[in-house]
Amino acid sequence: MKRKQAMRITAVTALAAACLSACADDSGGSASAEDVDARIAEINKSLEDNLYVKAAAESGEGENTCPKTLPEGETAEIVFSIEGLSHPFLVGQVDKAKAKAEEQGATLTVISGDDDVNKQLNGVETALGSNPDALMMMPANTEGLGPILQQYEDAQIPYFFTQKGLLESNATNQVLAPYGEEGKILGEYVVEHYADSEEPVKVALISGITGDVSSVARTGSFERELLESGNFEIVAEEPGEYRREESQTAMDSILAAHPDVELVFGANDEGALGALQAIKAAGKGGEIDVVGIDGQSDIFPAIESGDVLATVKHMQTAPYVVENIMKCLSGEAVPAFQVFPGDLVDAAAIEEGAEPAF
Amino acid sequence: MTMTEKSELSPASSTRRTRGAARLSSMNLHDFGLLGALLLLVCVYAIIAPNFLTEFNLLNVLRQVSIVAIAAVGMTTVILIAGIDLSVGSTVAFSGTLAALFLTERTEIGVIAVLIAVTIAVLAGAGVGLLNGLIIGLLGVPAFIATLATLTGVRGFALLLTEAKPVSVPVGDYSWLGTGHIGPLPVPVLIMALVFFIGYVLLSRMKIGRRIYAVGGNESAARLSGVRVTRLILFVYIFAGACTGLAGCLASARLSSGQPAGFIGFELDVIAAVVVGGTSLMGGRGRLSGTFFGALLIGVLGNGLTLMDVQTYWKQILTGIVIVVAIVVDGIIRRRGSQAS
Repeated sequence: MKRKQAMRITAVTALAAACLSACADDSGGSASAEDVDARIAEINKSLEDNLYVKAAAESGEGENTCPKTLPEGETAEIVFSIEGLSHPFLVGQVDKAKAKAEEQGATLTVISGDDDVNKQLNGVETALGSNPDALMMMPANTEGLGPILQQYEDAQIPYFFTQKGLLESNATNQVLAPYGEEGKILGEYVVEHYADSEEPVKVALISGITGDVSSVARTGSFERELLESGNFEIVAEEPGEYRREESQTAMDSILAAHPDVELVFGANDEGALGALQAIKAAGKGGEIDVVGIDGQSDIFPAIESGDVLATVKHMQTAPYVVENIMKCLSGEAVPAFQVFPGDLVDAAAIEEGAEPAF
Repeated sequence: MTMTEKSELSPASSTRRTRGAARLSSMNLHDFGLLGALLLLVCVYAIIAPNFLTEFNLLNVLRQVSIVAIAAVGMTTVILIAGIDLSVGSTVAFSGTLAALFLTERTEIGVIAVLIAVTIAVLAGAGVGLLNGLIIGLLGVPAFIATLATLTGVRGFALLLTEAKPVSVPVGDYSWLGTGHIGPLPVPVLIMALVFFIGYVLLSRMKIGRRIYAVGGNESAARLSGVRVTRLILFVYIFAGACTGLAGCLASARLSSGQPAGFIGFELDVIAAVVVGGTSLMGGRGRLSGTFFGALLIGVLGNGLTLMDVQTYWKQILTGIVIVVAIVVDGIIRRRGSQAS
């Protein structure tokens, strides 16, 4: 356990270092073929140990069973510990989980951590006292969960992760966010969209939080897709912290340095919308394409008006986990990891009735 | 715990005893009121909240309350001198992260390493306290503003230490501090008892305790009677910082990790415990037993609501209501008390 943790720390540090050095690279100017290959290798390395990319690669493989099955005729009691309820996405997680639990005839107790690791841990501890049949968790962060998860294991209560998880744990099943897949799907769309372009398309990337696994997975997977097609040139990468303000500032400086940029990638929709604000403020509205990820409701009007090209829906995974818990409690085996990528949404998809993810 | 709130410096010695006695009874009344409310809550929960009245759950509540309560001992002394410390949440994150950073690279964590980590956290907390004390006592900045500044600054420091990433500590002796037991009792609860005992001795058995009450009651009168107010302010903030540092250490032990971005708003939980416990924000009035019951009342309230599957938004609303009710009831009791004399 100790060695594993040490390894994880080293991996995270290495990842952060890799990203930092990548960000520090001046990727301006026309890149040679060797440079592109070197960059692809760098991305591959940074994605190697990425929880979300790994989980996607192993999605559906491996099988776990629950230590106990639910006696015939008893109602399953599931505890859902969620990091907080302060964002529409999180409220959606709970609503969808509740609906699924009701459909499957289980009771779901929701305990919010109110955006605080310590409070979340309090809730998970308190819930252990009521001896539930299963624990489902969306952790604020996964550091320091070891001891309490061990207590659940000792009590023979299986635990499951939704959205965020842990590579090295004895979780029965983890349905994780498809961060890597989302970047890839968006990348494939962009490659196809520019297939007729004769000159390499100049692209700027606005990543999320520096070193954060979700941001590394989304941005890296997107960039790799573009570089492998050979039809794109990455002229700049700046962190936007997943926030509109910061992304706008990042885009302002990108526009100053590279006025000829043709496409901007936001690691989430907030980042894309921030970039769009900067583009409009610079009087370049309509000249630069924007893509984002999440499929949140405010990006839909921007896609309809043509300001934004496309996004990928980031879906809540809690209902899948509830389904797996019920399967597992009835004695069926469930896969260790599962990743279900959401749909790509462009103007055509909205016309056909696509709905926001949250 | 007995009451030693009456001032040694009271000028009118003839009225001292009667006034003291009246205040004494009103303070006791407050404690009785709190205890009554707590018992009522426990009875109600015992009936309607599933699994509330189990040994596991009750020890759990005590353990969860202990970190807030330890920081609240320091906060009580600060509020007694009519001060406030808003930097508690940041200090808990900062001291816990420092301790975790010291331990994270080690493969073996023995008793000595744990003791060093605890010392680092306590000193880090005391250091923030010293800074607060200097800004307030020497520069004359109001406590609210001074500690608002350290709230921001210390948080920045904590985030800078690790670039905002949590630092995990190998599970072992250190996490025993937060999750272990001695006999049936959780370790943090025993540490909490020790801190309350130290606080009690300080406030009720030592001269400095009487000076704390005197400065809170009337700072200029205390100054004129020869109390070195600046020194006292420094001492109180350092003591409070050390309590907070210890709380930070236990928090990081419990989470087996330093969380530089965690515990935002923690100071408000601590202040709520102190205020519900009957300590006046105007200073000079209040005691530790009340702080303990205050912390426990808020902790038990939240625990039962969690067990009953009450939506988190309602928990926050109810906690707010309890704070207001506690203060209003305390005001009524106090007015009755002073009328009776």
